[in-house]
Amino acid sequence: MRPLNFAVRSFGRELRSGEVLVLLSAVILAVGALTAVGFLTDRIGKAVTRQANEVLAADLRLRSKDPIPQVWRSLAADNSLQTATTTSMPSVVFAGDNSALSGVVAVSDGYPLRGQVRLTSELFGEQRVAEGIPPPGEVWVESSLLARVGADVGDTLGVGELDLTISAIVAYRPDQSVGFTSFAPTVLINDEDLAATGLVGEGSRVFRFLLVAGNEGDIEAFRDALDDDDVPAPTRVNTAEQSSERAFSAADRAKRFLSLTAVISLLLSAVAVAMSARRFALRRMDTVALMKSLGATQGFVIAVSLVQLVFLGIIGVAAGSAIGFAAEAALSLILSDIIAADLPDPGLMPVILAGGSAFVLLLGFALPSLLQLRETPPLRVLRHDAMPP
Amino acid sequence: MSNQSGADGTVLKVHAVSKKVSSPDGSLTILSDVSFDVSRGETVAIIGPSGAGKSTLLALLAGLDLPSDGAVTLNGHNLGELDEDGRARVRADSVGFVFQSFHLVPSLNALENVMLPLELAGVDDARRRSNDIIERVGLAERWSHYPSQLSGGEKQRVAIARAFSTEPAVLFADEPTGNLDSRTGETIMDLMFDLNRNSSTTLVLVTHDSKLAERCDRIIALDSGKLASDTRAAA
Repeated sequence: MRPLNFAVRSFGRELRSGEVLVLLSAVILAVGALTAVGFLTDRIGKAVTRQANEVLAADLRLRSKDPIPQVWRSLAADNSLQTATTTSMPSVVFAGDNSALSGVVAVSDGYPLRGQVRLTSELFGEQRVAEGIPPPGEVWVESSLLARVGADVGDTLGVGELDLTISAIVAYRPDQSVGFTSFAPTVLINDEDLAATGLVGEGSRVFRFLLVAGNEGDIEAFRDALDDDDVPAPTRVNTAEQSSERAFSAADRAKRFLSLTAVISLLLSAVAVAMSARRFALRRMDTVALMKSLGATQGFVIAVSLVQLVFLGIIGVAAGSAIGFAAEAALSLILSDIIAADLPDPGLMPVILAGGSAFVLLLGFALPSLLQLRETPPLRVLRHDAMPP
Repeated sequence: MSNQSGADGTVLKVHAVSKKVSSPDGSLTILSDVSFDVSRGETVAIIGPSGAGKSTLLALLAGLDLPSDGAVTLNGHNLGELDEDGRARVRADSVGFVFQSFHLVPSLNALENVMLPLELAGVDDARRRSNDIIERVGLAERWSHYPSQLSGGEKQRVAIARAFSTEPAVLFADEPTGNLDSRTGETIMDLMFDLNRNSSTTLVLVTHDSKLAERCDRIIALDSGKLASDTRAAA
């Protein structure tokens, strides 16, 4: 009989009898831990990549301590670039007698130049992509602000000296993690309403930005033009690359931390695989001695062990990946308050990596024990103390 | 399965076999200068007190171990000239075993245990042949039971079915009734001798049981590792 046929049949029997379950469980544990972490970091990584170009809501962002100089807009227009402005400031907003600190962001037409603002009409409601910016007289707020001031969509919100109607809830905006506004819920208003709020005055802490977007060459030309001595210099220039580097760096740190937990799981699994493989081999020694007494050659024993190890790996990787997928879904749910963005679907890479690791574990920690089985003396069927040399 | 016994019908030839092992006290001789031949279809009992070297001799006869001196020729193959895999092939081709402690694979049911040597030998209709033999040993209703679900007598029936399934040239039995009560043991031996008669298999039996030994054509007695007597039953 060919070892493959025999291995298939006997593996099914051993699986049914539970003899390989401990070893299989160790492999499933290792793959489950690796894929859970792998899926999560993969999804976070993809989300970071997807959002990297959106973190500024533009390709380039210029900050000015004074109102945005007209010459910046002219130079952008000369280079066929789109522009929009945001003006941000912290302010306490009121709904009736309730108040809360918020980050007021006044945006001009065209905002955001990159990415999309997503809105809902009610808490946890269905999201839609915003068309344009808040109309004058209206305000879009983040959901946490509604909870803090006890207001709802349709209520009035006092922003500075101006009463505005809450017309939508902001579920997502591209540049939400930038600046102080990440610490307080954001209030988006139309730039045309900004003056009427009275929030911008002498000594007020205001951040003014010109958002610029266009093709790479035009952006470069615009930046060169900004270097002219006659043009007021921005207090800070942010590019998408710089911002995405920060985002990637944060994601990388998270990934390293999560990978550390996966490595610890892997080490524990390696010990579990080694111990269970040894136990499995010891329990199997009598069967191998019997097989050899009935005519099985050493090559047959090795081939059967190798084939069964591969089966074990395949089943372990499949079951472990399914468990890892479920564990990642649970982790994402638990972390949903921290991870604001919708995570993209995971790819297959974590399964491939975990599968590779599982086979390395099996080959490195289980194979030696199983290979030793070939040395089992057939004499063991008569003398139970006969052991492999 | 195959029969390559000599022209004189000898299936097992034991020539000046000795077995020595090392011990803390120096070299220990377990068997010394044992010689005999066994013809095809013969039933041979090997008897002797504990420590006489019966099981060691059985291991050498079946190629499970190698002698320190001398030669064992099984079904035309000099076992001393073969490597371990070569001896395994000879066993697959020519040998069946029945052990005192049954040696059934716990993860296999009765039928699968019987199929094991047939599968190892690459027999195509292993299942059909196993079903036939398991019916002959009276376990047709219990073929799907695992060893843990069988009594001692039933386990030994499965072991006998397994031993005969390949129609071996030589069947070696090591104290086959040693773990059974006398009544069950007698039934089991009746079964074994019946099957042996029908298949013309050579039976080599190690036993303490003198009644069982007397059922054989020939009794070889060992004492302190030496051949004490070789007696043939009266025709």
